[in-house]
Amino acid sequence: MSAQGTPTAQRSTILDPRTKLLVLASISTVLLTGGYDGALLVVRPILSLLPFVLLLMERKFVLAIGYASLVAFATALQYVITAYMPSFGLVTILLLLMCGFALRLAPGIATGYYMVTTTTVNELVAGLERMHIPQTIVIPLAVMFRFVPTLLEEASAIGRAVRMRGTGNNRGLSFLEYRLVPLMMCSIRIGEELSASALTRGLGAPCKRTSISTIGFHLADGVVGAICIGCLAIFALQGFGGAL
Amino acid sequence: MGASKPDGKRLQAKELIKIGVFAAIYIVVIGIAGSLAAIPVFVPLAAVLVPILGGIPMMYFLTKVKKFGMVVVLSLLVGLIMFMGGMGYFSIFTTLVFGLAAECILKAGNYQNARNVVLAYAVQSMWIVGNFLPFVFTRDAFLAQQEQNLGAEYASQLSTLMPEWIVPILLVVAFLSGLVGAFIGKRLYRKHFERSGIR
Repeated sequence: MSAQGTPTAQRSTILDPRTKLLVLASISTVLLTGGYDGALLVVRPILSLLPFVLLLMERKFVLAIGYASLVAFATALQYVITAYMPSFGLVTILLLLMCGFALRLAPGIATGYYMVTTTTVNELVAGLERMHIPQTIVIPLAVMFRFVPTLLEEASAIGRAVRMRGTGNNRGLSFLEYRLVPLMMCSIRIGEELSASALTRGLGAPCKRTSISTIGFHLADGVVGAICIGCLAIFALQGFGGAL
Repeated sequence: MGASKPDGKRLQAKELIKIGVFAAIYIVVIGIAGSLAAIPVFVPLAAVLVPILGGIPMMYFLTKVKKFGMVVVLSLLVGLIMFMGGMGYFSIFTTLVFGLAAECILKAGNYQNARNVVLAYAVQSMWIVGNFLPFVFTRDAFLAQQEQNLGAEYASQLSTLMPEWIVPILLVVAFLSGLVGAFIGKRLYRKHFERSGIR
């Protein structure tokens, strides 16, 4: 969840939003629910590498390197523990468990982050509408993506106000009360204004909406899509990783 | 949903926007709760923290719901965001199932019964189990691989750390924490919102 840039008419990213959803679906399906044998031993590294490549393609170098070093560190740690620490104390087990969790969750989280930071609300809505997702889902989803950055902004403003008045050191429930209640009050008001503004601009009108976002499939979509579909196919042939 | 019939039962744009706004607040709040439980061994604590903290925005939302479908759509959105956040697709199903159950509970109370609102929130917050399901479903494959690499001793120690019966326990824990969250949310709501006249 992070700040969304201002919507631009130009295509802001390399991949189509629908391809990004496919990447996300295959990574979280295969890496989270797949097993660790046979062809999946090849599929897992490919899919773990995919977020790194995607982040590089979007010039998110810091994130890409951060992700790569996390995965490399977890893999190395797992290897070192396996090879050189044959006894199983509680610490080794916890470390191995942490590595396992990191290796399974990090690619999905990195891809989710990639998707949220590189897709404008416009593009996402255009993609979802072409997938024939009903308006009942698309409108709240778009509002949500539009609203989260505002919410974080308001939250930090409230945090500053709380500190300024010297009530910032409260712990527990009163901490929540001082932060969340004002946040909700202003969100409700902003939400009403947002709703009035969107209705004025014809949201929810009973006709097909047009979009200034140019989305469509290109070569990169073809390559990434083929990799994902290939990995999913192998996963399916392997009996869904032992989940069935 | 029908194409363009503006009848009173279908969710209107205004309600859809409200769902989006509250979904955003809920996601931010449970994001905070989830990151508090991000240390691997304490991951199951998310089933306690998320329902408790989430009660603050959700209790307000649930008391405002007047039309069938609002809770289901909001829950489904939460599931979609969990999916986009890399938590696997199981949450999409659990949010749908528990969202629908919560919706039915609210409807049974005609969207007015305060006790049903509390119950609905507790049921709705059980969706969090979906985030743990990937690990349970692949437990055997995971343990088999660990046994192959590290021996049976390690695998058996690991299996005691991730028991199969954790799912029903997490369900119960999430439900109970949901009740606590509902009462906290209700108290804050009474204290601040009713008095200040925001409705």
